[in-house]
Amino acid sequence: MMTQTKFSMNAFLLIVILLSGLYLFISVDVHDMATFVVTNDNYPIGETGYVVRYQQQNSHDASGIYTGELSHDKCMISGSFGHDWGAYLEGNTYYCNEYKKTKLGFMTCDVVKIDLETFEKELVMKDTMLRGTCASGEMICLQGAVLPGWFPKTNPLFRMFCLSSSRIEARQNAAVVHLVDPKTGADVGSVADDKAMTTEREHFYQESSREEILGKGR
Amino acid sequence: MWKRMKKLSGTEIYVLIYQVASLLPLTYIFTATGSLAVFTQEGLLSRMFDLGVCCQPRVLMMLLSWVYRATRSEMAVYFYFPVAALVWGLLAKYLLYEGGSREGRLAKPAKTVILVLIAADLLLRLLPLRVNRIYGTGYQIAGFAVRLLCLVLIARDLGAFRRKEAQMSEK
Repeated sequence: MMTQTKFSMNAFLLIVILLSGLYLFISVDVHDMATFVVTNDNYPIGETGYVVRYQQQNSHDASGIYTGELSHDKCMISGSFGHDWGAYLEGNTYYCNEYKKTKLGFMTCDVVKIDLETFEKELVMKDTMLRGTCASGEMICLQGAVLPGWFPKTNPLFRMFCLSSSRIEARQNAAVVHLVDPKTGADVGSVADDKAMTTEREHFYQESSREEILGKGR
Repeated sequence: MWKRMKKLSGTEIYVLIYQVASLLPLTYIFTATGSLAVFTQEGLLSRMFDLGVCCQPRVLMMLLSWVYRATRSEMAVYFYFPVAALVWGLLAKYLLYEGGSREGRLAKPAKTVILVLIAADLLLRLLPLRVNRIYGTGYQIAGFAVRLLCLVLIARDLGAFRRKEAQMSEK
């Protein structure tokens, strides 16, 4: 005799939680299937002798600033620091991007400054990308800009990420362009730009002075 | 079989809608853990994700987004949806259904609170806020329509409950 069982949505949800929890624990935590490696390389920081080392695939080395390029060199400060997307050395202060990864490998970006004597890190601007310097020497910081690896147009997780942020721009190329004095770390002015992340605008910012970027009188 | 199926009340349909909307975003994240290429294409799964988020209370989604940014964990986002749906489904039996605890005495005040919260959520969606501009117009309209349906279901249930109470007090 068949007995009829009543479908319970609550029981179905419980099954979903348990089975998917098991699968996700195995795939994401144990096997790290979603690892997203930016690159494998060392970038020297000017003439200081220190290098920025990116995460090595299939390696036990952590990303960070090292005393050299060899495997026995010491890690002075760990973190995913950028070099190729715009870094600036002012005396013993190294301004760069710090990338932070989500579980599935999306990178967010903050501008930080690192004292190369004490190796203390200080946040300069959150959710911001350092993209070199302008013609008058100020650093160009794009606040709210997102790395292309977020696939902002097609990725709904990115839209969920933006929902509670007052800074991150949901529109792909938009950003607020801040000019930061590298000697003092002070923000000397900003301007909103819908196409800040395009190649043409980046060249404009790098080739223009502060007055040209911010407008006359600033 | 259809005659034997219990007729669902408005409140039960509302809870079911919430639970189904909570399941929509799961397939996208689940698929993404196996194939990151899904991020590069806008397809059925990404549309289901956006629709599921738009059908949820806006304030809760903003809180979830804050948790996502704080933990940087898509797993936290994933598990929020079924756990919240399960918790709400279990709470609803206790609070909202008239056959529940304390002979349904909690049902009327609980439904009133839910009604007010859904109405506030609908008002929030109409304001020209940044949070309302992140999703496309189609998703906004669909989310608004679903939440409005939930409001109507709860309101009808509450109206029927009050009419029943009035009839019983007349007797």
